[in-house]
Amino acid sequence: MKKIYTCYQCSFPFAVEENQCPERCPSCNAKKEIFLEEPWTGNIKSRRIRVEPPLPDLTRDPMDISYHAPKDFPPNSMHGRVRRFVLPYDDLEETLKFYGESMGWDIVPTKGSNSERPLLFCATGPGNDNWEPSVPSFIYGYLKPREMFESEIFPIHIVEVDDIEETIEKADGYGGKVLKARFSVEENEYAIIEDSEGNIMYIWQTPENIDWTRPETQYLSRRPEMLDK
Amino acid sequence: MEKNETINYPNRPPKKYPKKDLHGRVRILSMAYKDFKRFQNFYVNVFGWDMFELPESAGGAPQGSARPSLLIATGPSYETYEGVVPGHLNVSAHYADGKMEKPCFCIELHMDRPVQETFEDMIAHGAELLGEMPKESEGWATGGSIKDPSGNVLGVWKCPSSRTWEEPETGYDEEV
Repeated sequence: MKKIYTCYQCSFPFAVEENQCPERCPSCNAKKEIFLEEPWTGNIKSRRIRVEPPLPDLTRDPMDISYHAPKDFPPNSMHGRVRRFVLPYDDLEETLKFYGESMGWDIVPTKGSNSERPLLFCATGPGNDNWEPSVPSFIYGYLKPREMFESEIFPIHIVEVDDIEETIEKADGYGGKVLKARFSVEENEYAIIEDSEGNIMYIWQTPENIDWTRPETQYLSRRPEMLDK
Repeated sequence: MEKNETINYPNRPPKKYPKKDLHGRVRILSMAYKDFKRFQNFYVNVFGWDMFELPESAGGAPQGSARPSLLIATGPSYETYEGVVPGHLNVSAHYADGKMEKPCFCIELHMDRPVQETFEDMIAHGAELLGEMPKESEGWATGGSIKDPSGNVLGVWKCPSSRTWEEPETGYDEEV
């Protein structure tokens, strides 16, 4: 018989056949014994059991990897957020066919880029007027002509940082290194670094004219209805 | 209409996307490491990332492994490590068994179509299937890997039907 299970530790609800219920919560790994269960009534949205989600523990050891609610991030800072993808492309027409038609992306050439081989900016889901996503947990990014990459260096993601030089210094102290020092593209400041494992990424310094009221700049790891708690 | 002042995007908003469909959204960045403690030290101290051990039932390594699989909040996130605010992506990380692996993005697929149908459509539009054609499953991991027409490797994933559509990440354009 199908049932709805709600994890008492992390509040995650899911519906499965009773004989397929996992031994551990797929979201937080809590044991099955603490699942709350109720009958399946045809729609998980109509469930009666609701568990209040856990709140961030401000005293938690950041190196402890047992399940916990994510921390609150610092205000007025985008530091560390993975903000854009950057994928190289070879054939423009094939690229537009795949990502535009099959993936459904809204793809535009960035102004000032080569009309034959443009740098493309891609909305992969709902967005606001400033071409930032309007809902959480996905990103926009670039399709970039392969010849625009540094030779043999193909970073595919952009991490936003408060300050490029400070980040490079810290990265160096924790086993990373700089592959390309600060450079500018369309009034934005970037560098390319490698982490301690050899993963390569762009870092992008938060522009000075950022509007800290925009939805994407907020910092609390809490559901909107829990913001006063 | 507001004009973006930092990069010259077109002076129009992006197209409208349909409700109850996250198809095409770039949803997670998958990264590998060779040395967990070294990786953790780097990302906690340099970028302030917040990580926890991905449950085995969600595809993670066995619990308590010295080489754990991780889900990582790179910005504000809620209790299931999906973002709370828009504009950033969370990360999954795993031990690279053998040669170090390159980072790879994972894109979500249609939930209202058979996964094979979506794969066939991607292949018809220039993608190359890596490995076997995935089979529909009620589990947590229906999906596979493809190469885009330029050879970029992408993970592609169909969310299980347990999604409630109350999750903040399932938002869409209200006007559609």
